Amino acid sequence: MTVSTEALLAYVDGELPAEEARRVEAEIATRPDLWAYVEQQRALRNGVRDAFEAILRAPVPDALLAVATRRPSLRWRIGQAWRGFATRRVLLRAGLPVAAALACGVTIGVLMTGLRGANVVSGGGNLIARGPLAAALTDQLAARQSQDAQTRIGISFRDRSGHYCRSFETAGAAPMAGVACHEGGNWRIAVLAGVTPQSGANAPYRPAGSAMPDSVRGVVRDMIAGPPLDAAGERTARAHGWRIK
Amino acid sequence: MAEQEIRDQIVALLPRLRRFAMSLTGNLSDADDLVQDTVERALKNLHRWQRGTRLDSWMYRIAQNLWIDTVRSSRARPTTGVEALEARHVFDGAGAVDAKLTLADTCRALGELPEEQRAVVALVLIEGVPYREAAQILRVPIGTVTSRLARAREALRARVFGADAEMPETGL
Repeated sequence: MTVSTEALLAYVDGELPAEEARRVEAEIATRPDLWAYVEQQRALRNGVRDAFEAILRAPVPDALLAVATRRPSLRWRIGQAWRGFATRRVLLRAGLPVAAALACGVTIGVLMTGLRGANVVSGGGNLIARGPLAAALTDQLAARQSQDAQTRIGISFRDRSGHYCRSFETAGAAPMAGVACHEGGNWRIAVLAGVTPQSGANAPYRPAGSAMPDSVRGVVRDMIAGPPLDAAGERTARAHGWRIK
Repeated sequence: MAEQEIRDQIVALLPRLRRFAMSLTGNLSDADDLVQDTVERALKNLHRWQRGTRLDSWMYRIAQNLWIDTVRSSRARPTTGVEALEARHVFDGAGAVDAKLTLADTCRALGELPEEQRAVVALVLIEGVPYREAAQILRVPIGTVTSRLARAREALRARVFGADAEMPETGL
């Protein structure tokens, strides 16, 4: 017997090189006790992972989204905005209370400015597609997109409530994948996941060829009602502005 | 990478960061506090993040470091009882095993592991991070990752499948 516990665990975790994995498999095949152990560890791994799966699907609290989308230089930007309509002297005299009272109004404008060019913003407890992503979701047909498009549309489909939804991937140094659904004139992000860049030192965790992260694929599976739209269906939906009657 | 792109990426990472924080802290409110601190720390230190390296790993490391600081200063994690893990495991005819664990039970079980073992379980078993990457995140040798993982799994296995679950004689 030459299989260590750690080798068995590495086998369960898919960490063994192919040749060694085959050796472990051969060993397990002749040893029911090892096989049972591997099955238990596999069940344990899946059980622990599945127990935490719900957190991935749970909506992220607005407070957290706000922290992530807030500009760090907000104070400076408010200062800049202030100078647009108040003299420095007034600002100094007004002091903090007035600044605080006005900050809310100012902040909205500053945030809008700060987020120009963003693909995703938070609003009304949801994430909403904006900018290039929103444009691609509205205009781009999956059948006719260039290989180097910044945003690539995957499939278009209708969810259980009838809304049109589209899966997408964005390119760039921080690629993302997700699904957005057209509701109330906006593309509401139903799921969004970071995608590991496919090159260089950034070896992906996911096996090559599975462009859509599992989390996104799972959400599509849960959401989709009927088959995905074909090319003609996509064109028709686009012609109607992705609105449902 | 433009700052806006990094922010988009961080937003996309939030669900995974929450899951990771949940596995460290054992409850959602501490987890969300930890994620918030992690994001704030990351945004303040964006200049320290090395472009071309993994943003997710960097943020896991920040979260783990913040959590260790919290634990050292306050023993924040509520002590949990030693109830038996209410796992329902099903043995079918072929001997296949299926462990259905609730989140609360799993958190309790993780809570009984030493911090350093729990971090490895959180990264490798829950987040699906490869050993090598986990070693880099925790700044320990890869052998430390595998040995901590083996000890943690043995403890979890004993809880889920019973203390007398047979450990095979591996001869090593």
